Amino acid sequence: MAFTDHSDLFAAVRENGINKTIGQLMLQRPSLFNYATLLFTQALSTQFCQPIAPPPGGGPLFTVESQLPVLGAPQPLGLDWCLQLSNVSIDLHPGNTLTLPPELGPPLHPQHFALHLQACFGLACPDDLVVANLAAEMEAAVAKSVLRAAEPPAPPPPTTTSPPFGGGGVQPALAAAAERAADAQSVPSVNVLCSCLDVFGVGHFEWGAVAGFPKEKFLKTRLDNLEIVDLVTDPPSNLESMLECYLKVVLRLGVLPRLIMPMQSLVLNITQMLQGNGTSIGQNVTLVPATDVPDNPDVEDDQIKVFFNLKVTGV
Amino acid sequence: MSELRQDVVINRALLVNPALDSGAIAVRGTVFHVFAESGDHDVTILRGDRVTGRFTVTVQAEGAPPQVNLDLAGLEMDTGRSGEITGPFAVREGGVMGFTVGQGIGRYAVVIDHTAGGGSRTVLDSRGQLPAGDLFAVTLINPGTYRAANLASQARLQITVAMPSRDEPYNPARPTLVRAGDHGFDPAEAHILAGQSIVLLAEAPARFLVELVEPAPPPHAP
Amino acid sequence: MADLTIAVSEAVFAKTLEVVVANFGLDVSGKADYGAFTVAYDGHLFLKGGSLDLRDDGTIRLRELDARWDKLDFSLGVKLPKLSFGGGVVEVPLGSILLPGAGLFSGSPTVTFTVHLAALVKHELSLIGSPLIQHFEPGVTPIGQHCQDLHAALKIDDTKPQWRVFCDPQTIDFDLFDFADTVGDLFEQAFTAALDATLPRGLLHDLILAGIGSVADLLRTLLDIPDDFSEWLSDLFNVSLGVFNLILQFVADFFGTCISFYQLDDPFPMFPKTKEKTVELPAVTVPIQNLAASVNDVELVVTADIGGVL
Repeated sequence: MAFTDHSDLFAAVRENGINKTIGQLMLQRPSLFNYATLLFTQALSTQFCQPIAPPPGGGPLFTVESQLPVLGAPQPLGLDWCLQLSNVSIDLHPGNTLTLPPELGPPLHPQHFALHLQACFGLACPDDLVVANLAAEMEAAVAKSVLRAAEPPAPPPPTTTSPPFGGGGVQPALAAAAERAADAQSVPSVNVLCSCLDVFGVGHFEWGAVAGFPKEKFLKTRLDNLEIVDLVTDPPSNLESMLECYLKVVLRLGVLPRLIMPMQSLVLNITQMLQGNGTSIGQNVTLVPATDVPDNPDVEDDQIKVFFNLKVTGV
Repeated sequence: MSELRQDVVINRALLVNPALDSGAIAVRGTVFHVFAESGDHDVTILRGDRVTGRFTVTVQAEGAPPQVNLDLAGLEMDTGRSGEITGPFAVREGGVMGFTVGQGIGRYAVVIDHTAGGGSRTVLDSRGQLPAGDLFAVTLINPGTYRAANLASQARLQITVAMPSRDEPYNPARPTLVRAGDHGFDPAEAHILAGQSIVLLAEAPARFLVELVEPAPPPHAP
Repeated sequence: MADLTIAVSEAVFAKTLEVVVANFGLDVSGKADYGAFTVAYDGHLFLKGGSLDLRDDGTIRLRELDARWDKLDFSLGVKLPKLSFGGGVVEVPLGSILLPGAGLFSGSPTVTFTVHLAALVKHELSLIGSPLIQHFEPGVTPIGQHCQDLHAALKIDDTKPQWRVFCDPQTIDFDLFDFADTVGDLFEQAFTAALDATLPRGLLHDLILAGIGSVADLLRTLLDIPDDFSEWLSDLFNVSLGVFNLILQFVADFFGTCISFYQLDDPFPMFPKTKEKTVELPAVTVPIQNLAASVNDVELVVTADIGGVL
């Protein structure tokens, strides 16, 4: 049986290849897998839960996010944190390298993949002395506002000085981060408390269009379910489910949309010559997904297989 | 379908039509001298009054070619200023030397002295008459009626020159011999095609002059 | 087992061939001096049609490609003989006398003319090849000038490393030059026209053409052609001028080392560079290793491995 029995072109990637590609992605674009507040570029740069190697081609180590707000503080205060996804690997149907937890209904269903990753959350927790000093500031702020209520209006206080940021080998997201820093004062801390969890997921691939790009077809990764392993509370609670919910949303809305691939990048530079020069023979040459196969893409035999047909029209 | 590049220079002297005179050899005319006696002969070439070349011809009983042709205009170029030509020239006894002019407007004469036995005897001075046995060949190109005259005997010969017709084979290298004796030319008339030659054989001393009397109307005239 | 498998059907291969063939073009020119005559030629060869078969023995067969010339100009420079008037031999009592002729030309009488031969010859090209893999390194892997020009026309990027799969010809069948018989008429007409234009209109012109008689015969004599023009011209192109071998070599280079059927960038850009919230994110590339190609009667199969993180 030939690869192209049902289509003009065929491409397949083994799960080994996909995992090596994921490895390259994690190495070359760490900001897709690492999220932290701005202070991690400076004071907390050595406090990541997992060390991050600088990408060989340059680029940020992590994506800058807002601080965790200290709720109710009379002046805006925020805590620094990081979230890192690591040890990402995929197991294509039939699942034979990852052991799925029972919650995900093993064995792996046909046309699906299993996903494993480790999620580490770090919180920069201030020590008691720092909290005591800040408490004094908070009390002073409250007292001032109470007493001010009885006096004529005074000019507004000057803006709080932000902690220094920027510099080092990292390029932070500049404008938005600067604005947030002006709003919330960082609670200084030198210790980051880390906790890591093993996460398993199951998903599938599908072709689809993307709004605004009607001519391209994209291969999309869809997460069906997620399970955090070994998170137990006594008495049992919804903590695991809440964290799973949060991680699912992060993956579905944050990480996976960035992994969509236009078709042309997968295959086949053979078509570049056709597409680029087809007009020299009075023809337009494009690729379209084959419809004559039951599954396209097809996940089986530890591979993801895609099938295309060449569409030729006169100019 | 084709384009041309050419490095061709036409010999325009062929189209000019002065009278051809055995006493003043020009383009289209050739004087042939027969060397009847063996021994050294001094040859002097003149253009007008100017000597343009001198050389010696050795006439031998055997071991020499029967004919040598010389281009007098070419010789002039070869000798340059000195007037001496490096020979050697040798002709068989009874053989012939032809004096012709390849190009240009020059008119030449030939004087040949036999220098055997210490003395010198002029055997040819083409400015005067050609001795019996010598020949004068003329190539006639323009069609029309020519007259050849022997100034020594006052005899006349009418020569008709016609254009070759398309359906007859044409070869310019087909000369016609006419004998010139004391009593006139034989044959009395000659008919040739344009580009061919008449050879006048002097059976007695003669001076020949050939002129175009009446040109034929041009075939392309409106 | 390889990480990556890509298969291309025979139909796609054939479509690629169509584009490759449409961009085939060979310019040839040259000249030679054979003493009595000089020749120069200037032509452009292109390909049309043809069919492609993939075979079970691992080879690729291109068949019945028409190779045609859209320009094949041939210039011939001929030294005219010493045309003259008069001359000949006259018989006199003492023997024969050779009259010197009155020469028509002074200088170097050479006449040159050009004929357009493109419509008078065509060839068929077939070849059998097998996949040849090259890892292209810009600045290191040599590319001939002709090839560079073709790459520029096809927008093939020679500035980045790539795996390239060529169809390396094992046998090439290309028809010898075989000019149509009518080429003789063409030469005769052209030479006549050239002579016609060389000689000034009038008496000399008419006389000389009358004297030459058959222009074709004169030309044959000047070129020393025993038989017909088409054979002579074919031999010239096949052997003396070496044009035939030039074409063979070009075909071998074109398919074998110049225009590849398949290319894969190495490293392969899996995700292009992008910009998020004013931050530049570089492209994500994966190294491609151990590329191999094989052919069966249905498809070309390329396999490769993806390089892991060191």
